[in-house]
Amino acid sequence: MTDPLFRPEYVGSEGTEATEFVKERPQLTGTPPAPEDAAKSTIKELAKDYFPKEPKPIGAGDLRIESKTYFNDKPRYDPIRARILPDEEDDTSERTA
Amino acid sequence: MIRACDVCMEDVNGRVAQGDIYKDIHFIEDVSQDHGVIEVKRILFPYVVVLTQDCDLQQDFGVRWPNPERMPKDQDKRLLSVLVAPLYNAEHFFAGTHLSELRSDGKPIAMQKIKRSGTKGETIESNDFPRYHFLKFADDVQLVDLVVDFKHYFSVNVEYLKRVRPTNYKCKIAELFRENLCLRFGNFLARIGLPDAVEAPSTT
Repeated sequence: MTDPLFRPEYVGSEGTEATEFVKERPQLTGTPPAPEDAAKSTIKELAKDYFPKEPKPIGAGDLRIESKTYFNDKPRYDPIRARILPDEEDDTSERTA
Repeated sequence: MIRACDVCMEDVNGRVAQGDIYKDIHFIEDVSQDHGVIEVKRILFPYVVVLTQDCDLQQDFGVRWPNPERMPKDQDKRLLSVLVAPLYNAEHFFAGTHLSELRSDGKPIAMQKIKRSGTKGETIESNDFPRYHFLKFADDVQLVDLVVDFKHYFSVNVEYLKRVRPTNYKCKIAELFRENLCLRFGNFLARIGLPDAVEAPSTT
């Protein structure tokens, strides 16, 4: 009985996919760097991304957390005072009198 | 413990809804008249959250601003006011200074100072203290950590809120977090006040 998970089309035979892949690889020339130097250069490259010499300009998005501090208000009194004006009717009656 | 509070900025048909956060809302403390001068004592709260049931607010909206095609038969569902609770800056709250600009007997109102990293502070931040509700917003919401004190709820006029909505509406607490807030508020109001412990009378 055939195993349903066994898919023979993905199994390369010698001289087909594997050989072609090797042919496409670039040929290395010169002396390869020592493993330590290679690691250092990689770290340097990575560090450039994370620690740029020039500071990044601050965008609106970067200010979001800082802007949370703006809310400094507290409940406060805000009264209204107003003088009552005499009614128009009373005013008329006074004038009539 | 970080408690995210999801907020959606969408408006719900322009109506006042449960979980809405408004800024600069007046609470009318007293109205008096003396020698022809009327004085309205108002307290301006920087932020408040709406606590009234959303279905009640929806029905009230339908009565006050009805759809011409579906006019209500009566005003049975009309509300008199909307229940809100002030939101205090957590930093002020833990320092006990959140009401320092209000006065009692001529002195600034001093509230209890609570150590944030202490047991009580941590209990409040994890929303395990019945009187308070702690809200921590995501970074994209320009609101600092806020605390609701359920003892300080008050009511405001529905039409007042509707009128200031275009300018004072800040955001809306997402449904799940809103339900959590309102359920905790309901539980706080429904608590049973028990007398202080007294010594049992001696039987001997």
